[in-house]
Amino acid sequence: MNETVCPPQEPQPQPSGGSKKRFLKIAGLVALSIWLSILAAGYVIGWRASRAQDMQSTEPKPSSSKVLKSENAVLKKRLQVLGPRGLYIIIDTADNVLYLKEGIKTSLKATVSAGSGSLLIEPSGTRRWIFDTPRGEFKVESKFVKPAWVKPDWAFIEEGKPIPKNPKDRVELGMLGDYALGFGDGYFIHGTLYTRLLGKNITHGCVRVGDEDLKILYQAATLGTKVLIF
Amino acid sequence: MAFYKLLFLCLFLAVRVEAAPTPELDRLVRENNLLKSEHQLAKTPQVYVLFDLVEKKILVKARGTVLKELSIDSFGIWGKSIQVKPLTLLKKDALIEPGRKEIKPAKEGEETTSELEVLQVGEMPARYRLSLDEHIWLYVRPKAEGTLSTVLSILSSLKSYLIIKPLGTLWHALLGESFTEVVLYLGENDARSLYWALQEGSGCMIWSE
Repeated sequence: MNETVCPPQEPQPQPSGGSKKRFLKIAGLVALSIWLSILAAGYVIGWRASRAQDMQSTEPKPSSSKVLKSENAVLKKRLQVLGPRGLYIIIDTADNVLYLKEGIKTSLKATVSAGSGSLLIEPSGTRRWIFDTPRGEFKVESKFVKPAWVKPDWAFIEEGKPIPKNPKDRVELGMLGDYALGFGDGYFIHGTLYTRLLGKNITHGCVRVGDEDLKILYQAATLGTKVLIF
Repeated sequence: MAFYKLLFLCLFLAVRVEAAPTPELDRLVRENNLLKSEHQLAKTPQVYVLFDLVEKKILVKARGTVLKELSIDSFGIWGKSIQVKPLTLLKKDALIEPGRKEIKPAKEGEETTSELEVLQVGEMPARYRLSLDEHIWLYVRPKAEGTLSTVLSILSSLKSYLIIKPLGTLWHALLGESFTEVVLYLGENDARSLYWALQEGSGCMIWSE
């Protein structure tokens, strides 16, 4: 019986652990070089940009300091004219604080409650309300003693009650405190029954003030008093 | 001949000295730009913000009146120098953005819940990015206090130096645009207050050296 003897097979060239490591090392170095080149390019461009003078200014610059001084004085006056004159109200909705000011003098600092920022969606999905206190410049447009609250639709939706057809059924007394100052679009600075919640953002956009502070505010503010809210 | 050369050189230098703006004139030009920009923003009834990097403070303003002043602990600027002009806040980005809480309307005959679903300033992020026009990215970060805050600050700095500064600059340069990164370090409460005060679309100005 003939025995077939298999010739010893040629060992297949296999990548050794050493060459794999070498390959990875080279690839890593290439990647690092590319990355460093990108970083360097970014830094060089940025550095040059920071040094470059802005030559694109289209404003012709007056060369005389006398002209500039008088122009700056006029601009400062114009800015002053834009600002509130006499008494004005500042409302900080982040810290829930109201300031009654005249110039830089503060005559009242009151803890208030501003809008909750919450969202209410009507169960049918047709209407939605965001309860933010509006921001910007407003003015006192109306003043009321013993104001009655004419409940809007959202108040009934929130309470799960049907919206009344008779407008008289919307009126609620005693909810807004002794006084209310309207500053447009149905927003008011008014009193509250929930004094323990003053200092928190819990309203539907109006600004609630404690009784004593509200009285001072009502007496001081006139129609047209500026209200700056941020 | 040498005399004429010297005379010409003196005249040339005199003209050069005459042409160079004095520090006073430069200050007046910059003040003029600031006032013009502010006047443009103050003409509207909107609230705007002045990032005054010279005095290291942030002024929330309306109609030229300061409503709130926040102090900047430290800051850094990278990229194209910022010219004072009215800018618009395009976007506020934070890792965890505060969402509006939804009021669940009570069902008919059901008592309204006494739980308050409200958004407070304390829920605002203290670490965020404000994207202004002109490709200005303004990062607000709280002063590093405590281990976690320090670690986060180191990570933010690494991200800034290894990614944002070089790649942002390069990317915008490829698009033919400028890029500026400003990093502001504020007290944690001030950072949250600023996030609250700023609304997308608000006017801004940056006053820097």
